[in-house]
Amino acid sequence: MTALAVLLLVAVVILGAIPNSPVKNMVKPINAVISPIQKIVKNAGDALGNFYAAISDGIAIREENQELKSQIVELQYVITQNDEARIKYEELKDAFHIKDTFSSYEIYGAAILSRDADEWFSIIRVDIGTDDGLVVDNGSSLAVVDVQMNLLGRVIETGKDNSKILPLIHEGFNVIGKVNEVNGAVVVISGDSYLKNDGLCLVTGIDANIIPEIGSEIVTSGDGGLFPQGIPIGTITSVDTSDPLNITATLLPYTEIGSVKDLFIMVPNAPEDSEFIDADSSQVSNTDGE
Amino acid sequence: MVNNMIDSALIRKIVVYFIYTMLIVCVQVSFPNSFTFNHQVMDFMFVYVCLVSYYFGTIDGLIIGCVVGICRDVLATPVIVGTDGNANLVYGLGLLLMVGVSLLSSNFFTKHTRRKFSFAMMDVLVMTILYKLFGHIVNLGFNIFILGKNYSLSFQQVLFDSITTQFILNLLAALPVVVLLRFMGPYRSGINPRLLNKSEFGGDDNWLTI
Repeated sequence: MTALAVLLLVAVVILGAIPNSPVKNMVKPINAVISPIQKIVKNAGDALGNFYAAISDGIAIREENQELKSQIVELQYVITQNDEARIKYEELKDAFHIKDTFSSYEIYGAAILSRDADEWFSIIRVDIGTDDGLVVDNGSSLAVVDVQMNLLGRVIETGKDNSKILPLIHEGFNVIGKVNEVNGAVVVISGDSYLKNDGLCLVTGIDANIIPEIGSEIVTSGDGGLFPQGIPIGTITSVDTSDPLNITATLLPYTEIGSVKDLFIMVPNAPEDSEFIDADSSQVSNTDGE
Repeated sequence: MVNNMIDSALIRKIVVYFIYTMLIVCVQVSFPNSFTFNHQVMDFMFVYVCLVSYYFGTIDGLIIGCVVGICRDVLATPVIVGTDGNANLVYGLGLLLMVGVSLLSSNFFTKHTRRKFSFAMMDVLVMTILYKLFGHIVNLGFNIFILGKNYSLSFQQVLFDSITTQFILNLLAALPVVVLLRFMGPYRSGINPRLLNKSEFGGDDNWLTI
């Protein structure tokens, strides 16, 4: 009886691993039941944490308040200067037709619902899904960034009101990056079971002739089509050249996944909305004329 | 009168199990950073299933194991990298894990010893070690034989950073769970009456002591 039950469960697991299997649909109702409860518990926990923080931080806040008051005066002056600088920047931007780096992407804000349960059950769930317009088809994905627009992960599955994010440091994550300089070396950044404990990623595919230096910034290369070009990923912290045929490096991501509460999902605009290809000139332009 | 007593006991059991299961599952996935040490997370779900199974028997353990396992799959789905390099969500592993743990825990020395606190801790310890060892062995085999690459964790890292840290954390997590289950648990007396009646339910007659 037990053996039969275990066999049945193994069959469910194998079936669940197959893309578009009915097992995924079977867990949807359970998700619908447990998600609201989990949100309530999370909100209650957050409220409790905030209350505790409010009490414990009270004294520090009072002192900080005094300090901040003096800073306000200084900042008022800086704001006035910045306003002038901003106006100048806008003028220059218009003049040189500077295009926003990610203007062809819609940015969706999301809050983290749940995190990893242990080292092998390690998906991040967020509170937006297909109802909000997120759709991930087989083979496609959406880039996920933090508030500073640093790469955090990618959307691996979307549900009705929640989505699952594969974090950057997970061993299943891969992205092609490049050193952020002219003709910078192209490398492959991936998660690693050992390095993820230190919040690091593994860098492979390094050309022996163009080895990135420690401290080099790595950004997404845009190759592969999953991620837009130029999203900051992190910096190189060490390079291992002991095997010339397999030079590897470690990368410290800019984003600290453990402390992130809100994140942003980058959804490419439909081609007819944002861009068109000029058949004569073969140039890609925005419909707004930029 | 007797029916009312049975009903109230049953309602208490269902309500308590529901509240504890939802609470433990939600706390585990909502605030893992609060229970993390040396990159390992206190696994309240795992400990809860171990202890319910150990203290209250196979039937309770299996039901709670199934519910917790499904919740684990839904809320913290595991990811497996395929041979094509793509990461795939795999549903059912949590269910398999929790059902396995509940079956093993409910039979952990319960035939010949009383279900006491020290053995409950021993159960959590042994199950954690088994789970971690099994997980690392499966990962190692998968990496070497299917993906054709090395497993990046060394034996020492597996032994000390992963297994040792995890069982210490799980033993700590077990303390509040034991208190909840024994003194504010699904059974008023802290004992599952089915386990006292060997002939009727096929259980053992080793009642609970702490």
